[in-house]
Amino acid sequence: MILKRSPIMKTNIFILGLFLVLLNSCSTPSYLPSSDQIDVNEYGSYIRFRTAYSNIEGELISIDSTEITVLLAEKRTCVTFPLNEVKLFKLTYAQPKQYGWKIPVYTLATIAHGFWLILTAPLNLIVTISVTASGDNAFTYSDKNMTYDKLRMFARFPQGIPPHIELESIN
Amino acid sequence: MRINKLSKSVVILIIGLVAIQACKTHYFRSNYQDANALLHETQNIQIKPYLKAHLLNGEVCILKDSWQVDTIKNLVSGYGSRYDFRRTKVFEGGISVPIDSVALFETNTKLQNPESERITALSILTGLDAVIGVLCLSSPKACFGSCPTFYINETDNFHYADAEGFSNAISPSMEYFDIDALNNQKVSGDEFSIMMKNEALETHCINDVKLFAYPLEKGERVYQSPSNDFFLCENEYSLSQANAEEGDITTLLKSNDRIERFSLSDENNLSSKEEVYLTYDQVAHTDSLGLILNFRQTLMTTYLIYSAMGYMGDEVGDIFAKIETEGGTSDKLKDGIKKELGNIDVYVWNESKNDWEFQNGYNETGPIAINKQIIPLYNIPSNSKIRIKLVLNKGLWRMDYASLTTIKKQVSPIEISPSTISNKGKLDHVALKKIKTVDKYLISMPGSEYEFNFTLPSADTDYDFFLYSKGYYLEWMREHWIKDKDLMKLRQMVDNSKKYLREEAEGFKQYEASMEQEFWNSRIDTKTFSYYEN
Repeated sequence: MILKRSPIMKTNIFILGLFLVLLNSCSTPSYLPSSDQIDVNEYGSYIRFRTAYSNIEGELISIDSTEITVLLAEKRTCVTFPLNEVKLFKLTYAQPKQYGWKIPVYTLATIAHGFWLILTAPLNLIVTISVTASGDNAFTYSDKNMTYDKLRMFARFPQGIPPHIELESIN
Repeated sequence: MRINKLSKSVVILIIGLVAIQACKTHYFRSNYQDANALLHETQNIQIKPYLKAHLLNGEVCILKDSWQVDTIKNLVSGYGSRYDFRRTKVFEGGISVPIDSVALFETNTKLQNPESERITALSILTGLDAVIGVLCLSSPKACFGSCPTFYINETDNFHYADAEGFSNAISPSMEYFDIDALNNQKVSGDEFSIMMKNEALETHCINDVKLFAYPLEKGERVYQSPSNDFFLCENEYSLSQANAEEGDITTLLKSNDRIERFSLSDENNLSSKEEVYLTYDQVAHTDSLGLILNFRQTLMTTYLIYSAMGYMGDEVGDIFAKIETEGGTSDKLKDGIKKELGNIDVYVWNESKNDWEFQNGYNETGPIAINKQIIPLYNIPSNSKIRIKLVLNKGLWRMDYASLTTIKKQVSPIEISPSTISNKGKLDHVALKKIKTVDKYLISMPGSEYEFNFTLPSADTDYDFFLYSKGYYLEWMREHWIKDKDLMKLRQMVDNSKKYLREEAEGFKQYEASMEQEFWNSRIDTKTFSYYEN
């Protein structure tokens, strides 16, 4: 006579959202401190931004009113860009807590709810995606809530790169 | 479990917590260009922060909370670590650096429980999931169900199922055919398709699926009677007045809008009856009338079937084998619990006899798809006012619409076998062969979806459609049901159903109070979701 069970929504937007959240939650560098260690971290924060030609990500080495220097994550070399080329930055200063695994686990667990799953699966999906997305963005600043002037506090050299230090020697 | 209201509150609470957290920006870092500013800003702080001294040469000293500034000796000192410009640790221990060598001081305020809102949100969600999970385990009848469901729009969920097949056929010997009205569907061209889904933990064995179609002229409709006769009708007389124990229910039964009238069961006896009175004024042709009723069952029968399975416990296999080999079980059930619960019996007021005259009864098992059936009325008074009484079991039926119509004649619809069957978008010739072979069965497992495609006799014709399905299904025994084993109760259920329904009333009442109302009242739009990943 009746009904229900089984999880997973076919809706593409959810799958896309899930994929992006999971992808995003795996992409922070290991040198970032945990949130309770931000006061003893010797490195600069992790920054991602766009220029006209590329997407840049790496450790923020220094920034002043005209240019920004980043130790590229992949090449481990320092690169300097004019500040007016930088668009849409996102700075991460601590290791986000990973909640991504909870999305499939919580959602699949609603199988136990029988036909109530039609209510609880979307609820679990929405909440766990929201929590994961919120967790990923917990220790970040962007151009929406941080000025370039204040951004220098999160550089390895907030005072600027000392004149005697060659960029090539920083790693 | 007031799921609907509870879930709304919980969703709002959780989303609120997450939203607050998502919008939260921590500002915890301060820079000081000189020692005086550092001293001034940190003098009133009770717990001294760690101090980072960024040196002019690119090195950094991170001093623990015991650091001090000696403005006379012009020194910053404390215990900590010193890193070179590559951030290699070069020293750990007591450190003393001249203030003049410091380019910038940095302090950081500790973040207080930065994960608290997220953890709270997940805790609430976990609690809610656990409560529902435990309730489903303790009362599985409330959460799981059975039988094949059919959908004209394949993305619909079971709230919108168009038909449910052979709901009573819980073993091979109980196999029977079922006909459900699909109503007057708009079809362009000569193709009609319907999706069959297995959305439960059970094995469906489908012997046959056919489409019945009857071409209509303008203003005509065809309705099916409980005995599967088909009547061509015209005119519909809307309900003038309807009353039940709770009062005026006219608005609930006047429109075909899925807003249903139902009652709750009697707390002392599950087979208590109630009466509903219908009045139709201004009926023009009283010589050949039929009563159309849109109805379905509540979850009471689901509860009873799962109770029976639970009572069988670990002997479910043996008992079903006995049912198959000994026979007569179907008759026992018909004479027992089904008879006790009864039909929706229809009576018409006979002025000359000054009494209610019995006509016939509606009965169709299943709480999902709404049945639309007609009962031809006889000995109808010649005046234009028709009074009808429905006698039905309390808490067993949901009624959406009741109207009168004029019966033109009895007709036979065209029977159409499927031309193709698709399984997940691909033609399934094996499935088609099984459906078309009399003694073969199409086996549909949980999660299966088959699309039956029919070719109509003529394109762009207005038809009334009915779905014929024949087969049986095997319920999957759940581990947690085994603990409910009670063979005495099972025997009572079959042999003394009257007593059983009295004794079980209290147990069902607890279940009904929560699940029934909340579940069926939850009119959320779940049409964008599907249950199974293809």
